[in-house]
Amino acid sequence: MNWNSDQIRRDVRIWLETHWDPNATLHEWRNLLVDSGWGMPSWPKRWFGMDLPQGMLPVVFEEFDRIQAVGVARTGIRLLAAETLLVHGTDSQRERFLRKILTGEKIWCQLFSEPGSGSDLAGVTTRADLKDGVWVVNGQKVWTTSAHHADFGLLLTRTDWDVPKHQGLTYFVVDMKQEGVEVHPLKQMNGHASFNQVFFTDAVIPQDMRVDELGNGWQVAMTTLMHERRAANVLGGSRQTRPNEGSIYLEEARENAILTEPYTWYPQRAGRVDLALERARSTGTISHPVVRQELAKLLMMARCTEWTAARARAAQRQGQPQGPEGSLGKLANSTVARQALKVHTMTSGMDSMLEGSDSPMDGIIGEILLSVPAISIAGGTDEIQKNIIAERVLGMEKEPRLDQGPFRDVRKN
Amino acid sequence: MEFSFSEEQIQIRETVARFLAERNSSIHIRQLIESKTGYDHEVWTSLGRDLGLGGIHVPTEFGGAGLSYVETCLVLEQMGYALYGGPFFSSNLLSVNALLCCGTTQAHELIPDIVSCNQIATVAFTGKRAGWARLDAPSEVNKGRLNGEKSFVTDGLTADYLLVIANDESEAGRGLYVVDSNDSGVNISSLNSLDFTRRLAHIEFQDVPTTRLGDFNFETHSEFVNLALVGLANEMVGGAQRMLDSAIEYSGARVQFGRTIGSLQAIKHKCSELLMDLELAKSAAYRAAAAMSEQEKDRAGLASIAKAMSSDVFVKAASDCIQIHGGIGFTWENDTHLWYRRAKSSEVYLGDASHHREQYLQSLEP
Repeated sequence: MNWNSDQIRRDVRIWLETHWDPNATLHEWRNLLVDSGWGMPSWPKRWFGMDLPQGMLPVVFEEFDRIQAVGVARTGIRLLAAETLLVHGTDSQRERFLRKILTGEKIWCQLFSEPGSGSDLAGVTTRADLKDGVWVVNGQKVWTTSAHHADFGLLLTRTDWDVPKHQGLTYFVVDMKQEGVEVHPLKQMNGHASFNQVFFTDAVIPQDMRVDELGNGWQVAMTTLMHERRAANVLGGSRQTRPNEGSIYLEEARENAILTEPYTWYPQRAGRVDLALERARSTGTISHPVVRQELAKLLMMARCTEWTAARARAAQRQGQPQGPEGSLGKLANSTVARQALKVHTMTSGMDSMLEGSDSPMDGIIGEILLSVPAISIAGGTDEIQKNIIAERVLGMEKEPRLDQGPFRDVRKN
Repeated sequence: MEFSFSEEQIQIRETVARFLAERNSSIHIRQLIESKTGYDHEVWTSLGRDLGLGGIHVPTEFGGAGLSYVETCLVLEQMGYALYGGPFFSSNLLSVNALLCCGTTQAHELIPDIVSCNQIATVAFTGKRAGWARLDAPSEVNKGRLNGEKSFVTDGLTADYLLVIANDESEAGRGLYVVDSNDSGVNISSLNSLDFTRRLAHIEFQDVPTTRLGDFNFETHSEFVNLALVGLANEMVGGAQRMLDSAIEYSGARVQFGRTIGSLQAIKHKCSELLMDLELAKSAAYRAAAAMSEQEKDRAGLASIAKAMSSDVFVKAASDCIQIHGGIGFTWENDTHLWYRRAKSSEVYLGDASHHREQYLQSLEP
């Protein structure tokens, strides 16, 4: 089909002019949006979309931004859940979950990582066993954002121990508000507790909450992770400031506040390059030649990383699919953050011995020093990224594997 | 488009790559290293005339292709990849840039013969010091006569004439001068260059008659140097790409312990890090090329980023490539050292990475 961006712009503009009301409730407005298809225009018409190609989305978003119209709920894990169900779910699952994902009524979490299974996700050992017509889940998940207020979880389990590891996994939607699901906060080395540990003790999942075929969990999880990477790229964009009038903005702000609260330290995790030059000036260390060199290295790397991301986006716009270059960007961000940590330490001197309110910039510097070590681990360690780059971008030979054969016999933690 | 290349640009790049793969293979390079002039005149004129690359960013009125500096840099990247060593860099890049920057009718008149590869020119602008300063020109002109010296002059021995940046002791000030290489007062001596493919000369001038082409003040000189830095940076990322390709190819063929060494994480991680550094440096080189072409305000800072990033990555790539080759990588017969020599030479030419980090930081000062 041939899409005309001017026509789309006209259509969305007319629809917004007719329907947008900043004093509607968030719930009313989003339901209207979901029914119109303009909330998720790239989704299929049958499921609250317009079948628009991805390339046309900026046109739609521009029109929303122009009049400051609120969009569907996009934060957290919910869109990963929705995209996964669109590809792998049943119609009744889509019927049940998609609308309330988009309206923001239900909160979702992702239950993949385990204490014994970090980089090696296919090695999960949380088990689901079919007993008396229901799936019974036992095991432990970790690094789960939002688990404490989630309604549903995307759960990767092992259902067959006698086949190779990737083939014995099954993917479910689990009701988090049930006995048998226990959520504990996980305190990190920087003092925050942004994630949870989730314990399953005979938790129950009805059979119709299985996503895709038995044993096909790995493929489903890959779909989720692909969208997670894409979402991570989008998150880099700036959040615009909203007008003061309109009750809907207050509701939106409250929703955002809850969901972004765990992430207040993320900018510090990335190294706060934006503060580096000013800190060097205000501390006077900018006159030190070694500081100047390290600072310049940092600023150059940071700019080159932005340009490299822009090149990747330009390539995508020209129709080249997003490939493992995402790993390259992630690795570059780690390198920048580590260099920033070094520079902040140099510019702060002995003040780097402090944290909290005694640390410079009301604790921001201390938080940088204690948060940067996460960036080269979260979402795939640098070492795994390097393996991915080597094998998928540079085409280097895979390592001989020691984890083939029945999972039961594979060495585990 | 600043972050992607057009189809036409990619076509130019591929044409040059194919041409150089055929006409400038390492077998050719090794023969040329042993030759008197160090370059193949036919390959150079073919690049200039048949492929039309003699004056890529030169306006058509002076016989050029009328394209932008981005295209010039794309071609340089491929020349770096192939370790091309002809007078293109001295004549079709540095000299053309000096004449365009100078901007007078007299300067412009010299461009067509360079573009058509009828003449080889080079620019004598660097002095005999270990360091590097942008206004380093210990050569003086008095009543039309040039005295002094220049060093690290690329292709100084093969050039038909020299473009010298010198200071007139009268009120005329700094200018661009033409000097006949064959004049009896010009003493050109060859330097033993680490890089076999970029021969350097030391030149002394004794009461040499010159023609002043026009002023070459501080701003003009900076622009000329920035153009050179950005061209060089693009050439260097091309060289670094060749080193990465070579390392990957060898690590996929070399078997130890019953497996290719490329299947070992120690080698994989080295290569992945190199790819990341290379992509960052390429972004800087491409970005700076666009900035020069568009005359962006902060282009001096961007040129310094490009040179600093490419200096570091080319040396790293060449060193890693030797390391990944193991013992064979340290032999004369292995080609890696040819690029390593270019990497070490280009690393410091027109200022090393730390010099340009300092330059960049100064460009941010209010």
